[in-house]
Amino acid sequence: MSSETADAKSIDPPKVSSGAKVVIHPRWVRITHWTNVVAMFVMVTSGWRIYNASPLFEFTFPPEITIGDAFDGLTGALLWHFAAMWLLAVNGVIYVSLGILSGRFRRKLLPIRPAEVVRDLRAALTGKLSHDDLSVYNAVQRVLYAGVILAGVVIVLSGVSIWKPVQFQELAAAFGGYDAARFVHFFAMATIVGFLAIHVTLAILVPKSLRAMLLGR
Amino acid sequence: MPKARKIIPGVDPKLLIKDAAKLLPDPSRRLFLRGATSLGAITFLTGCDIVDQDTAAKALLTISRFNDRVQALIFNPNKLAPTYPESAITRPFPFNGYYPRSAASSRTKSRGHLRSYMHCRRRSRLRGTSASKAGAPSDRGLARRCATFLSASAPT
Repeated sequence: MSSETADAKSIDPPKVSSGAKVVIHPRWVRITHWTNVVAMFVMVTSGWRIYNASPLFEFTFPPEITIGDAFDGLTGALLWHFAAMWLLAVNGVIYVSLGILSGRFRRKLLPIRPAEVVRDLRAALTGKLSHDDLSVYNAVQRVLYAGVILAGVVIVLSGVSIWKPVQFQELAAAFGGYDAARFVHFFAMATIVGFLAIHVTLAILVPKSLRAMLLGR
Repeated sequence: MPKARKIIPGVDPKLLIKDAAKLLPDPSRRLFLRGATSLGAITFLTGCDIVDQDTAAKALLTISRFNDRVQALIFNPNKLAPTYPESAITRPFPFNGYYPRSAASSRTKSRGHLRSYMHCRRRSRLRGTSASKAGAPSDRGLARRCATFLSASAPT
């Protein structure tokens, strides 16, 4: 009789809501994830105020959604930006290193097949994409998660190159010079914010995914 | 007679209970909802300053001083700003001040601005090297224009 129980557990995937204690997101993933939320929030909102001081396009961000009131003028925004950049960078390095070393990136994000992306995107847009098994990412998720990690790397490198364009002039040159690096930095931000809009919306639409990122399963 | 437990022949009651439990919603889901509402209640605290401006300002300045040390480590005095051929200059030269163009002095406007900019770039480059004595222009007028230019357009 007890062997039946053992079989039931091995056949049943993590779908079983009680009993099977399969961790979807280990603690290091959850910690780096939420740390990143804080870092990103500060970087984006202070970055918007820095942008406003010297806009690249014919618009500025409403000051109410930017931060940096602790000091007058642009100083507050710059101080926040150059403080949170450490949190973002260190946390990012830890996350990417552990992701690669633990094999998590390989297991969760690869392979990405274009045919599957099209199929899953179609399913997502018609509300038919299943989220039964949170431990396996669908193709759209893989593209978005891999994409935002790359955008994060680009935004940090372009940011460093516009922070120190003389000492890191080779890096700035790689982005096409100081002026071009500013645009790269902006478009990487737009990519990340676009990702955030989709990501947060989906997390709210599929609450068990939010729970998984808070509790692990 | 005490309440009789229905015994269904051929069914292990322990396994039956396990199967029944699987049909029940996960209790941690209720905990999650409760936790989420408490978290939502905390947002009402936005009326209060969890970190007051003063603490934030002090922390930011401390990190800024740390950044200064990092910048000192990065700094290499022999690494100068890249120079560009004249053909690479945008014409008309874009206005780079953090103040509106109307606030610029007449001396720094239009072509004088471009010439002063290029001379001052070259001059500040030469001053940065040990060869400044050999290459520094002796034109006092240029020195005056550079001083005015740099003080007018340099941000903090």
